[in-house]
Amino acid sequence: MPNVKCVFSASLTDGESIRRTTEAYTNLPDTTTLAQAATALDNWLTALDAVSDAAILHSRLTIHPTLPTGLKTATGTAWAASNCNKVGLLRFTSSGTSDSWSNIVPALAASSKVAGKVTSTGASMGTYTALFTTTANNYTNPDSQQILALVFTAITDRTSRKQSINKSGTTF
Amino acid sequence: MANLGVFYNGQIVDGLSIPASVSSYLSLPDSATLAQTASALAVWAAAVDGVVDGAFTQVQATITPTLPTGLKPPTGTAWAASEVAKTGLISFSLTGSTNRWSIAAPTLSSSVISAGKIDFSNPDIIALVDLLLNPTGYFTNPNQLSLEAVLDGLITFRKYTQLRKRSMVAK
Repeated sequence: MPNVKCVFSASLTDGESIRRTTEAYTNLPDTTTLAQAATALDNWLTALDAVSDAAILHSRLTIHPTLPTGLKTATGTAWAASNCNKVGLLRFTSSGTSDSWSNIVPALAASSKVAGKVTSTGASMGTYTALFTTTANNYTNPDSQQILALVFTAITDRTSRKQSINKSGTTF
Repeated sequence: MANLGVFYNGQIVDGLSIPASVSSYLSLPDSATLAQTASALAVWAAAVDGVVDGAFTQVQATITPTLPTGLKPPTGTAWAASEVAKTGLISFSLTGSTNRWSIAAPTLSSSVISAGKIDFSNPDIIALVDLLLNPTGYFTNPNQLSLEAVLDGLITFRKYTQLRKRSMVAK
């Protein structure tokens, strides 16, 4: 039974409304349910609350598993030509709202583009979008509303701040 | 059986070694195990990997349950006088290392300070230390080395960006 690295995090605010985050690290058995993990987080928050005069505003639990095998490595022609600001935008409808939600895919693969558009028929893109639209997979928008169907795709540029800093620092 | 909001996030690096994030949201039943959550995260990462030319460097899943009841609210005299810069450090020995690791408690409560030191006989300090040490191997340092025993405690100041910004505004 392997363990999974988990980080408990709490955001506290003091009497001057200044916020601060504190963390604790745990090594939970992988048989732990999410409910049990949430209870463990609650226990830590309660113990922390008792020794702090600040008020806890938010908390979260993050698991850090090792990368799955079979993913591409940072080598090869396609990777060398990849650019994180060339993103694919996949727009989905969600249950209970007329607002759509878009998933961003950085460094969209050249193999996922056909005639300047995102191909929704390619095997990899088909697998990816089906992952979202299959109800049993439980994918949602940020408001926990179930994703229903892919309605729109676009290829766009989103320059990240890190890229701007890098370019201005090295090129100009 | 309730559902919990889960946030999948991965770091991708492109051919210019520029990192970017990719993320998705889920609502998983709270009966799902960490192993099942990690497996679903791996399936997601593999699906993303199929449609990007960048390479993953790390993945993580974040759960944000509601806060437990009974925590103090941001009201009252003790809270109004609290300052995050006033931090309590509790140091622990680690299994497999001679280095120590400390947990930081911002705005250390005045009720757990005695004669200018952290009072290790205080019931709330005892409860926190007991939680961190039992069962063995449950709480760790960031390198997953188990906390072994309390070494000592320290009361200290830690300045933060928000505090500095505020002091600059005041001047």
